[in-house]
Amino acid sequence: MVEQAIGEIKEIEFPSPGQILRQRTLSHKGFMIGAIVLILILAMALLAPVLSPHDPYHQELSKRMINPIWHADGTWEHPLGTDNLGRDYLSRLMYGARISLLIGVSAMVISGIIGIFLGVIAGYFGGRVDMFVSFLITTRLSMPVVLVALAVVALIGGSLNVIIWVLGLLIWDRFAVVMRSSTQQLRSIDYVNAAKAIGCSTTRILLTEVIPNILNSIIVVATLEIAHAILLEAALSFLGMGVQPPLPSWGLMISEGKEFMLFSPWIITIPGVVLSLLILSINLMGDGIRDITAPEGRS
Amino acid sequence: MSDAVLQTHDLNKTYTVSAGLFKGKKFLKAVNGVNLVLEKGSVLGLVGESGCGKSTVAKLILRLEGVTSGRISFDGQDISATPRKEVARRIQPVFQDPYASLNPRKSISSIISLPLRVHRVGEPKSWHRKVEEIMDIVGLPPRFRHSYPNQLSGGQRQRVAVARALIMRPEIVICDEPTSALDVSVQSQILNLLMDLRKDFGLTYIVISHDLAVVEHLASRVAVMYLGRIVEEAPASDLFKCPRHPYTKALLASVLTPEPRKGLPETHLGIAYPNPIDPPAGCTFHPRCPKATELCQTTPPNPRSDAGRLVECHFPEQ
Amino acid sequence: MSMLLEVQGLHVEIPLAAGILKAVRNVSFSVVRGKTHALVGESGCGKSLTALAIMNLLPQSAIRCCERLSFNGQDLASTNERHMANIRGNKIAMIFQEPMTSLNPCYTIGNQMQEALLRHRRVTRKEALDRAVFLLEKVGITAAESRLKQYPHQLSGGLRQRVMIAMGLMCGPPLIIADEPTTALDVTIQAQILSLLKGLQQEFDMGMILITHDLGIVARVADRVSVMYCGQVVETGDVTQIFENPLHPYTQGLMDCIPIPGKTQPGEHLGSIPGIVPTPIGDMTGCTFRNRCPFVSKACAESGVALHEISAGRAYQCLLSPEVCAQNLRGSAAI
Repeated sequence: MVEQAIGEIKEIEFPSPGQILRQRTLSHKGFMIGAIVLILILAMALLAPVLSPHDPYHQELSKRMINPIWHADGTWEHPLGTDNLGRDYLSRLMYGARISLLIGVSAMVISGIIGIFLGVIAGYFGGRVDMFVSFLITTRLSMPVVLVALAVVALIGGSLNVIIWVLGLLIWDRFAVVMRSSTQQLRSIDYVNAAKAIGCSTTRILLTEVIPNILNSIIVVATLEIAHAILLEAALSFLGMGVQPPLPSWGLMISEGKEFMLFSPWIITIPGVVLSLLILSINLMGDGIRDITAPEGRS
Repeated sequence: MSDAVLQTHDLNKTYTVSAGLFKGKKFLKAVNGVNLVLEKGSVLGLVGESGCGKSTVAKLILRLEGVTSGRISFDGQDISATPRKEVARRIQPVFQDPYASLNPRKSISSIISLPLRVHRVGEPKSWHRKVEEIMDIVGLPPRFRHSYPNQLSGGQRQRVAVARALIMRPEIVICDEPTSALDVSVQSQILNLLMDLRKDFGLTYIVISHDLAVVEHLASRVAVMYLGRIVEEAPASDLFKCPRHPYTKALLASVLTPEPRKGLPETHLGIAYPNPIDPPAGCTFHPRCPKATELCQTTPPNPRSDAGRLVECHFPEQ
Repeated sequence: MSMLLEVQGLHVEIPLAAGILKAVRNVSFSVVRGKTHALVGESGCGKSLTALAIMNLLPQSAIRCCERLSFNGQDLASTNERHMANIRGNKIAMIFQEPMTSLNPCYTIGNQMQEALLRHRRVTRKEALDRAVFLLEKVGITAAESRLKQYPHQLSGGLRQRVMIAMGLMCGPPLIIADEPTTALDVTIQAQILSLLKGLQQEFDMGMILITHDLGIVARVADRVSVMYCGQVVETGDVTQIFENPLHPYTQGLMDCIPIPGKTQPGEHLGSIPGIVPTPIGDMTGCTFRNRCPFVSKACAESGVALHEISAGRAYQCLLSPEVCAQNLRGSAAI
């Protein structure tokens, strides 16, 4: 044992921000549950080409409306049965995950870029810039998103790209509002003043001093907006103004299952349940991230 | 004979504030005609209470805010409109709150080396060595290079702030309440450090503080501010021995030194600090002044200077 | 002079992820009516937690235990929450550092002051209002009636703190706990507020616990002082004894650190205490000051150092004898 110098007291090592984060993350139940479910769905989506038993587009009219495995006449060949056009439901579900996640993440990225940019410049510069951005936000908030999306799709037709861009250009408002207030709090904080006094350009300050410190808010809003975009797409597809058949969007599957609701309820229930699970897991993660990255008090 | 390295001429900063819904705008004169002369190698103490404008003067000199009117000249050159980056190599700040002056997401070495990166001083390879060197000078153990601010104590963080300010060897350092947020035992460490660094690097300081004992210990000249104006300025020892302005007298009387038999001072100051948006007419100090007369209520006093001392009062003490 | 508050062997522990934080360890002191007892120390020494422990306002996870905690003969340690709530504000008033956050911005001053009295006494609103006016005038606020209709944000910091003091006095408490009452105020207002507190204390014969890190305030206001370091009381005594003859190396070190206009030489190095305060987690044998003490010896790391009482009310916690301590003081003064 090392002989301690006279009078030395062993120092308590304070953990680094990374270690604190890791420890908090792993002990937050909501976050872990959400993360596990999401990873499963993500795995399902990414490995769909490998895991799915059949081609989701392959129609076999002789095998229409086969019951899923928990019915008496279900077969393992089609564990979740087939839909009205004889397409394997499990495969469609797996590929549907891809559509939902792709749309969710893409729309989130587009709306994030727009919203974060507008929010940060409004919060940092204040004055006229803030007035202009606030005006944009108010205009956007007064627009009914679903109706506008419907109108656009009606005009130029629905497709994966159209939906992604329409949603991305419409749901940036929460990003902007949250980033604006977060940035305002940091605008006159001493380390930003110190960076200014050192002679940092505004761009550098925004990118290296401001944004890393509002990253918590960005991540929380981003997860919530993924869920938001997925739900919107499902709604649009349900109304027939989203992605077009034969793409296996969950919203579309719910829509197509409407007419068979009474006799073959699984057609409408299964995609509905999975959709809810996905949204729930994303929201749990978003809440969890907010708790985990809650402002740390002084050490 | 030392020469003036920094001078301000009739410096003014006015903010517009909203007076309330539908009531239009009001003007807040945070800095109202301030003339300062900073001599090379000296320490100028700027004292005053909250709202007197001393921090605003610092921000104007650091070019963190634009000047409303007046000039700031550095070595004879007018810098009132010079971009911040050029001024930055020669004038650097140390702020009050060690918890808010360091970016919590950056490592210590990244924080200290920021000036080098922004100004591209020397080779990137040499930055590592420069950071180590300055950390050693300010008394930070080298193992903190990869630590984050939340792992350091208040005194250690303030040392990081000093290291960051000095890494480019500026000429002037503006310390805005450098030790107010620190414990007493840490405060003296940082004050000793600042004094040593000044001697070793030939720095010039502006020390802004409300703590007169600290200012008396550090400063060679002291300027007392009240509601945006300098009401008295003198060499430190003269000011503390015989203050001429009633406000300076009251400020000095308010200093509570740890001497138990002296009891509590009577400052004779009357009502509270006025609102800078609606300053009193005439001499702005008259509502609180024990010697105020009718003249003081109507006419603002002119600054009188003699033998290196300046005072702005109709009836200064002799 | 009756013993108003007696604290003996107070311990506060807070369980943290890294271990149990022994925030307050074996703190003892007493307060009498008409006198001020100061708890002085730097941040993290446990002085605020001591006050919260007395009032039973500690955070949920904190554990408090004490040998003796009696107020006017009543045992506070075994008093349940309902009775404690009757004591707080009524018999023991607390004045905090930041008046803006201690006053509710949604209610007028008058409303809050009346509330403070009506909660504990059966009086009419009119009587409460009259007492509020009386106390506002006592604390030096002119035009009291119109002030009562104002909201906290309409008053300056100094005025708000005066209102806090007046509110604390509404029920005529025999004991006031003031936690950094002037730290957030300007220097010129500070002296006025302290004079006010001292005057009111004399007039109403109240006991006061003054918690602060500012040795200047302690010297001018307090009658008795307990110096705290890392959760323990390291020295206790009358104010003149502490300032003119500090015994503990920490107290001596603190006195050395402070610049005094007229006494310390400008431009010269101030005394300093090297190192930083250790975190009181885990094994706490030996003296917690030993990593910063200029007079440390091997014995300081072994077993606990007990509080050494040299005369009534004068104690310190160090292995060095009083003669050696006095010598150390003279030694450092000679440098």
